[in-house]
Amino acid sequence: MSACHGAEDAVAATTGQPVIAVAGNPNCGKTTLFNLLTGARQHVGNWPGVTVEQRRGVASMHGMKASVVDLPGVYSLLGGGGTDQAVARDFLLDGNVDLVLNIVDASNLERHLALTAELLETGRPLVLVLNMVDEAKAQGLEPRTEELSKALGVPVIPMVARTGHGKQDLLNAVSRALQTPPQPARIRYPAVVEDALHTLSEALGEGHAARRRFGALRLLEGAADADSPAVGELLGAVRARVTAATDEEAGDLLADARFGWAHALATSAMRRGGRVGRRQRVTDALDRIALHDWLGVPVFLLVLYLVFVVSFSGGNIFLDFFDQASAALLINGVGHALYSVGLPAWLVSVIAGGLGGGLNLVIAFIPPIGLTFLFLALLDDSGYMARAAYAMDRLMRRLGLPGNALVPMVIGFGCNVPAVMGSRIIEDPRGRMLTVLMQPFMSCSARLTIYMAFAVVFFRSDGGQVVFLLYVLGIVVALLTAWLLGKTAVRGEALPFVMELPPYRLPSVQSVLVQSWQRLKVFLFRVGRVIAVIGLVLFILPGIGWTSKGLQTTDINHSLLAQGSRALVPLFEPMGIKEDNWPAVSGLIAGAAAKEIVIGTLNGIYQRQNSADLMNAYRDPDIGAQLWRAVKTIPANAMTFVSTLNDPLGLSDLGSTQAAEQASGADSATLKAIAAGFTPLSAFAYLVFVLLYVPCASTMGALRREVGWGWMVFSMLYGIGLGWGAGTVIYQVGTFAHHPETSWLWIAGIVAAFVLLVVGLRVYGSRQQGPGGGLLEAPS
Amino acid sequence: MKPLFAVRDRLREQGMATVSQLAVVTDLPFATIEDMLAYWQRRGRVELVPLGAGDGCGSACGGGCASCGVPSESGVRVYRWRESDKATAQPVTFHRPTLLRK
Repeated sequence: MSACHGAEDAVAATTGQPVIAVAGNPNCGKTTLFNLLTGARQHVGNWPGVTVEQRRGVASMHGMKASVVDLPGVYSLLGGGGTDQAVARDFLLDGNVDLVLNIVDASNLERHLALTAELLETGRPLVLVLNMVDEAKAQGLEPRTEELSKALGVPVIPMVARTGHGKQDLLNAVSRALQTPPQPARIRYPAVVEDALHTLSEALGEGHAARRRFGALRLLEGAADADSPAVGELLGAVRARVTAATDEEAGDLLADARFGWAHALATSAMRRGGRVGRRQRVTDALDRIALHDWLGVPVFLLVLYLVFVVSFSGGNIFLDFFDQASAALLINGVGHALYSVGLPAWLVSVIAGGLGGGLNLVIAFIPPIGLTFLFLALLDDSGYMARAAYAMDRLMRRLGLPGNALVPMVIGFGCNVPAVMGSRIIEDPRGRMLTVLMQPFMSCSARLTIYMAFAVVFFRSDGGQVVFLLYVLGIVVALLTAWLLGKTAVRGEALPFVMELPPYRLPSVQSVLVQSWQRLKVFLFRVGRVIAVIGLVLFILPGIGWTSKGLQTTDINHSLLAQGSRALVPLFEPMGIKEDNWPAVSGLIAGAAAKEIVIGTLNGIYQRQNSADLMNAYRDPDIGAQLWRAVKTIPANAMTFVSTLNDPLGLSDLGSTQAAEQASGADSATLKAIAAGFTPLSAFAYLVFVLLYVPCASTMGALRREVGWGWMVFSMLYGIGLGWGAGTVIYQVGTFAHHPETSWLWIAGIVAAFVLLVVGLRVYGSRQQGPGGGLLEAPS
Repeated sequence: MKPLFAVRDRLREQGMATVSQLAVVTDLPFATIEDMLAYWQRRGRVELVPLGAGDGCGSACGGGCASCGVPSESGVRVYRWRESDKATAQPVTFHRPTLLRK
């Protein structure tokens, strides 16, 4: 091999032979192709005046020899690529080139066609080598060379240069192209840009038409400077003309046209086929819906809705079995065993009724809660949740809220405490504070237990819909709260949200089961422990009260708990709680400490109220029969589930009567007592209050640490007020026909109070300096 | 379709985005999006954003930065539209949302 040959030397050395230039992006197999064509007949030197390596060689085809020049690998010829690019551009425009072999990576065609677009601008005859078709096929891409060839106006040869596959076809095509040069099609830019190119080309004067057009392209794109003041002036004028006509800059229009051309060409030339292609088409189709500007959010809500409805309905199949079987074993069985060994009646009641009753409640809700966690894990593992977050993010930013607030919100579905703490991932103080203040309204898993208990009693046929409604209500109140505060007390701009969108995938069974179990375990051992222990405490508490002789054991209706709760009942009467349902108020008081306690409290009290009946059951339980009855509920409930499969939205149940709803499901003493104390309307109002008022002491503690005492107190009062107002409005609207005047007064009073709150927040906000200024205390 | 402008408009509207976010909403291949972002970078309209972990990372998630969704080795790149009034000069935290993180 020789060295130090210039370009002119190279061409001169092969006088009489046609010259073929091999052009392409770096790492597209250009040198491999060059080696394949020239074999050992190569010369290595430098391009004239620069230290860029030049490789040339001779290829033989059909008895004809051609000089092959390997151009430096470049992404563009227009500018920004240094000496390599200048060498390639000058050789292609001014060199003695008979044919350009443009090699592209078929597995990444769109990106590589960008250079092809520029090569076509040189006006040189061209053959396109579609290299690495094996890798493209492995990705499910089927090249359609005929279509590509037709669109480009040049021969297209599929190849695997690495193995030599397609070499003969290439040699045939090159031979034909040298004899009859193909006429490549050129990109058509927008008319106003073409006019500008024409004007500039004319003004450049020197060189052939392709050189001048290339010069005009480089000038318009800002890749080259005008070489005279006159051209500079003209350039400014044509750019201004283009911008005036299109509102875009000329250089951007050129680049966009090339990207658009490459995209359209690659899309039609490479069809996705096979398994990979089908998967991609499914992903694309799903994303078109899941990420649609307007459909994304409704689709997310629909998915969430189906999760809760199917979880509730599916869970119902086993709910009665879990409930009745655990009651037979843990309440009656344990009670009987303890009674048989001669323990005193009060101790038997405490252990079997209090502790066993609490455990019975926890176990009864394993099926629907476990299924909910299972479906949420499926959504998470499939890659959909990231899409849902993205879809919600757009909505949230439209509301002026911090986009990444959704992440703590979904954590809040599990527990509000880590959700509040997780809000620290939001950098800007204003966004963080709004996010923290939203979290108490997210339905945590402890609230889910309360929803489920009430849904089983009052909304058995469409409990999933009610639970879904409460979840959505929580999200809506959280969003509106942040929006309201963002417009009044905590003004400022929201920051954008960035995240990676993973591809859709079939969820891994192991991953889904492990994640679901982790969550269910928290419910069973953390929430369950609290319910059971509090149930025990509250089984004892209603047994003491103030009497004329001081603190004495007393019946439940004269206990301290009853007296205190009764004193507060008038506050809750507007939302439908009657005086004799004072245990419901006890539940709310206890629930301020932890939502897990609400059901535990109700259980403790109601079990105590029924303790006489239970003692009879302990003496003579028929556990075998009870277990058999429990087993028989499975097929019966399964039939009900199957019969509702054709109506997953539960629309046919909308007209069902309250009596029918209330009659079913209330097997345990606690659930029976709930059924007796509420109507479906007052139960729903109660649930709304449970959703909106103070989530728990731990959340309040976390809130204080993140945003300080002031905002914690605000959050607490705001939640209680909002919960009470919403519960009251729901109950008053529902019973409006019975007492329209009173209802009007309540509703008007609540609306007025809310307006006053908004005004107060606005006044507070206007007094603050800057967005969020001075509002935050440093997290400890 | 005007793909270069579609990417610009989406990024401008959003302020910041990852390549995958832009790819799924514009229906363009990752490589093309990267090229377009490189184009806008050359034009001085787009900049690469340094990724950082939130203040509470680790303590809040209980499992270190990875559990917060900060991709330590994933090579995820976040781009910011420089004209956007929504974007600021501060680093951003990357999030991989999941329902089941405690």
